[in-house]
Amino acid sequence: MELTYSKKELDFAVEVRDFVSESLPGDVARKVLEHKRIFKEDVQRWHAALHEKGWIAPHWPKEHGGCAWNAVQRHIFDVESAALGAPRLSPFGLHMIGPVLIAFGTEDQKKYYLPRILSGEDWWCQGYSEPGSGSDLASLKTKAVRDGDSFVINGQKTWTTHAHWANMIFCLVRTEVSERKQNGISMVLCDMSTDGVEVRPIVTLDGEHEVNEVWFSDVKVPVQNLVGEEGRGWSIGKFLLSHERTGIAGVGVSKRELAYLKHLASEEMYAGKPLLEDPIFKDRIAELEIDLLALEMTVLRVASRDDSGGEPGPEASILKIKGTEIQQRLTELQMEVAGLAALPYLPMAWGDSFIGKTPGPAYAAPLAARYLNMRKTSIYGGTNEIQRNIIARRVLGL
Amino acid sequence: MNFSLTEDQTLLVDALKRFSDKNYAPEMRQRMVLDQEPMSREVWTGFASLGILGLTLSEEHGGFSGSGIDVMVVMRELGKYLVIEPYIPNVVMSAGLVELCGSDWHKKVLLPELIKGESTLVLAHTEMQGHQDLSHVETIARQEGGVWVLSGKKTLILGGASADRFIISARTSGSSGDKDGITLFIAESLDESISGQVYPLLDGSRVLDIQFDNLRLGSESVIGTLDRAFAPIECVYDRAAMASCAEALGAMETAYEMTVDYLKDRHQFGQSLSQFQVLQHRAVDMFINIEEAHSLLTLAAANAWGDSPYERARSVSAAKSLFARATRFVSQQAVQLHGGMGMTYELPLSNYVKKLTMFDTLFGGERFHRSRFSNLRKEEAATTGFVSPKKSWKQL
Repeated sequence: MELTYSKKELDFAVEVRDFVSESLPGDVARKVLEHKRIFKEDVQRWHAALHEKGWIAPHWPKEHGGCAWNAVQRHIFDVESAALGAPRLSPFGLHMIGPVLIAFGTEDQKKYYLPRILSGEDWWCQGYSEPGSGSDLASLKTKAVRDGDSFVINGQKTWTTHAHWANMIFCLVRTEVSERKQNGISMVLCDMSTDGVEVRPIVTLDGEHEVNEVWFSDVKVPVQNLVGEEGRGWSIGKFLLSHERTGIAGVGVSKRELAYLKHLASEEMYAGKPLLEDPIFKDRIAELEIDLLALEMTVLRVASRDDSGGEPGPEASILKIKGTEIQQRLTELQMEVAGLAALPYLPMAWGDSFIGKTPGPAYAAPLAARYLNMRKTSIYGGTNEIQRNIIARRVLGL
Repeated sequence: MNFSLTEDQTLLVDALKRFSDKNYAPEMRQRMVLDQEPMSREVWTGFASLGILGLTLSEEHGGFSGSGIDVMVVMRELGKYLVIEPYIPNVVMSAGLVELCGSDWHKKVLLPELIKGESTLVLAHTEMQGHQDLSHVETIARQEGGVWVLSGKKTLILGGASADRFIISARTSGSSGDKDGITLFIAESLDESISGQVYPLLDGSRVLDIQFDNLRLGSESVIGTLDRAFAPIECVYDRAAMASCAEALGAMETAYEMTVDYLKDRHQFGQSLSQFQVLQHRAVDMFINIEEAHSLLTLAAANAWGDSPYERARSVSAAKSLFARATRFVSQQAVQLHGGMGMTYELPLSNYVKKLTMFDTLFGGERFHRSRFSNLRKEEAATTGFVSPKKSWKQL
């Protein structure tokens, strides 16, 4: 067991730091660090810089354009880039449909779609959940009926993140009604500009728009857009969900947010002293910091076990549960630091170009909205309750 | 960076398992407790032949030259079997102190016997009113014509009931609560000036309280530098805290496994308890607590014998704090999920629960460690005379 970073790994950290400092646009970094509103173009600019460097897909095999970093390298990159304010890349292409196509796609599909994911030319969204099918995804009802060279899709997807930015969607649809609900599900790729596809925004607790409903009315999709075998899409869907889990611990972002929290608490005064020195608040931070340290060690332990290839194990569910709990707790503590200044609801102040005055310090304006927005993390990607079911079944054997 | 055990470590674990399966069956342990035996000399000799009594001592003294990871690996196994032999007090704390502070003569006289299991040596430091403050030493040592004269009381001496010698901390200057002014002395346990009482702790292990008035010791009994014992004491307490976490890991894992088995076997309402989601999730939360604790422990183990007192203190305090929560949750839920059976003395689980209940009280509790974690400053650590364990201890 060797728990210090090797010289090679430390050098890599410096390499990452240097690259990010040079190539991450400063205005994007500032928006991320100050919790300002991020737009598609912000993410695309960072995506382009990484693509040019050849670092856009660290977890893909080299033959498909990835840089095949190991777990430690991916962790180092996560921590170093988050610290400097790198925005979160859209995961649906790079982390979901990309690996799916690599594993299950036809040669034509790989040749066509993978480069477009890497370049950022295609922006994907995920057509999974439906109003009647959330945790019970296998009960989904959106239908795809074969008609000559096409599938005709009718139905509705919901909670579709960035459907309003995406030009492509991958969907789980029902091609056959079967006794076992998991049978008869297929995965199809659909161009968002196809006739009959309609995107309707869903406004979340914070008043912002990032998720949508996507309605399908007689949408025709070529049969070549079927991924894998017809009717056997459920196992493909599950493959993707387990990959969704490892990225989701969010250690890099949480470390950055913790540093930000300490910085804010060192400047905010309470009873004549910085809040950071208040014994009770200091203890809350220490408890969180210790949990984050434990999570970081678990990420490295679990991920390096999975480095020998193959699918991430069910222990990745721990990372999702603990990672999201920590993310949420950080938003709570940041809101606490702001005190009264957290309550004014002024969405305009979360825009980077805002030049007006807020009732309290500028940092406080987005904190309550961010707290509300982050309540989603224990729900998306498989609720934390479902994650516990998975661990119970696949690790404990209950 | 990598997390796998070396082949040597894997072999050591296997050897320990085989030894403990044979020599530490639950019934045997139970008999030792009922017979009020603090230690089995047979088991202790067995440990010596496994090489684990000199685990971290250098090869030049006959030790294994092991690392903190080796200690973690050994303690986890000892925790699974609830070994009551005083491994931490002898091997981690006292042997560590001799190596850190002892003169060449001390090392030559004391270490080989310790490693071979021929004699035992434990630290007598804690005093009842001191709680967990390591600088609380009211025991006094004064000079009287070239001889040291010690008076005071020491309590809850782990391994004290079977100790051949003590390392006693006494104040040679300053007042209680000062970090400076503490000195370590070696004394024979059978010295007629020392009177003691042996009593059991929650888990059946036996400890010692001692009182002594005018205990007379020669100048060669001073180990380390006069007035400067605080830093090495703190160092071995940190290592003991880490070892205690590793032991608790083994105990938690066993309690958890017993609980999962029980959920599968026990039937109510026409089905196995393992079908009920609330119980599944509770068991999962036990598992998550254990996994996270294990992860953080590896960091503490990697730093506990390392070169940086700051990293040692930080990682050990982080681990000890997290383990406080984990041991409490796992032991409480293990009882809870066993229903009425969890409340019985007879169930093997009960010994694990009692062991885990003791965890937070020894080697610094959650409050102490989390506060230390919060307040540690890198620069301060470099100037307070903390010891680098690879070199011998030197005065600030």
